[in-house]
Amino acid sequence: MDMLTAVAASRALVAGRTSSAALVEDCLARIAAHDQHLNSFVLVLADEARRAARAADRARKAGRARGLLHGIPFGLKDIYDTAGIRTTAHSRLLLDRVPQRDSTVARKLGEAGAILIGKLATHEFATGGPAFDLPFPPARNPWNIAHFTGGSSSGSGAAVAAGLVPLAMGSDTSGSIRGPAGYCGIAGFKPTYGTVSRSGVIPLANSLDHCGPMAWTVADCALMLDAIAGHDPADPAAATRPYKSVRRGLTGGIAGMRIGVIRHFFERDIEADPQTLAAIEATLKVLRKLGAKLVPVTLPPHQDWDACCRVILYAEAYAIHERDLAERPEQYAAITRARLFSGQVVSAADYVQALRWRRALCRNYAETLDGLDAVVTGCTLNPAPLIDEMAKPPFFSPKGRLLMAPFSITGAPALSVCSGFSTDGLPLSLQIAGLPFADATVLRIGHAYEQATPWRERRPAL
Amino acid sequence: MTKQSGPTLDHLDDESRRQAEQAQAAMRELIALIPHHFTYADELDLVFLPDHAG
Repeated sequence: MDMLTAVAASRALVAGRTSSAALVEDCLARIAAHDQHLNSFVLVLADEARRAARAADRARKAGRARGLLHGIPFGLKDIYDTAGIRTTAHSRLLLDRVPQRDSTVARKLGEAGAILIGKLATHEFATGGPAFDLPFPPARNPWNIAHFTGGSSSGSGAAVAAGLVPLAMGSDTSGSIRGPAGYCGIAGFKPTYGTVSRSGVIPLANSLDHCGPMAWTVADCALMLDAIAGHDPADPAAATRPYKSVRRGLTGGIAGMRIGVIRHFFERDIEADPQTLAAIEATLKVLRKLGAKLVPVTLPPHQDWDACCRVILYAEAYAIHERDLAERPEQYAAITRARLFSGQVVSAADYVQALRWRRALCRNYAETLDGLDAVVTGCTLNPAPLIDEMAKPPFFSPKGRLLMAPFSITGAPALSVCSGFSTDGLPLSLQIAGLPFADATVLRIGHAYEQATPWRERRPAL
Repeated sequence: MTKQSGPTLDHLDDESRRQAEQAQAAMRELIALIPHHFTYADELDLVFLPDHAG
């Protein structure tokens, strides 16, 4: 029973058609068969997962199932602390680091009865990659292993696309969930800033870091989000408003919704490749057919959002890494070191001006989206590039055509969904975003789109 | 009291230093895009605080 979605696996467990032990064995068998080519896991917890699965099955038989995630396997990007289990951020600097406490997300997933299969590859410290000068090799794209997964949640994207786990946690500071979701052809959701606790997650840039789910379908992302969201006093940026289930809001369709289309992002600011462009146009037709009213939307050019985002990101990241860059710079991958050193030239005044710019851009975003249910635009604007090209210097600017920053600096909910395939069989993607806390609406649109298109029927041929 | 010395590119090998300098040059180009038209009235907007209340 391989490659079930989490929703399907949950139903099968409830109906007694499978067991958690069987689901875990299936994941472990697929990892054993395929991960030597994909490198998506940096640590597989086979014994622990088997033990947890047997316990989950016993609890279910005793009528003590904890909810819809009870007995469902998942993976964690290796920046989420796990008590007693090595958490490295894919870095030589943290190779022997064993946290004493779980991150809030790991704890919540455990409390929901989900089964941790292992820790997933990431770009070093969620920024430096792909890199071949690290303790673990970079994850590769299951649709074609010569190609890049996107990053930094590279292992999460690869493992989910390959069906090695149905659910994975990613993190997104400037596109690190949406990029790999787009290049690997899965659903990746960056919830509103503050919705999911970052406590116990190795930071990249505190004012931009988001935690979020990655899965084969939008419905699976919603299922996972419901388990991990909610206020956490341990995260100073945690939202205080009560969290409402997004899973319950998935159905009902999008007829009558007003959805903005931000064309200049993918037509002028960053030019989408022709196949991606055609897929976006086809997507818009689907949304119209589903009853949405599409309206053109103009925001400041993408270059502004990107510059503002990267100045803030690397100023904050440099502050976090300043000591290690002084004392043991040789232990970073070359790409990580170069990117982190970029933050050294951001003055205090530059950082403050960038924060003021951010507020102005956020106001513009809120005013422009007023009266709209959501916006759609591109996500990854080309099929996944070759991994070897991505690993070459110069290191600072992303070489993929990525449309991420506007929804990073606004803290807005943003979803990447598969919108088709290139002639080479590589996934294409679409991005749906909304105003902060419109997470349920964004996911509902993505779910409706997935239901109306055939893209979830195709899996990588491993 | 002397301040402990911070990170420096001087300790890197030639290739690493060149890569870091390239990244810093790219960052300076981004910094140049930051608008400087903000006024005193904008001072209250310094901190990123999403609307989490209510």
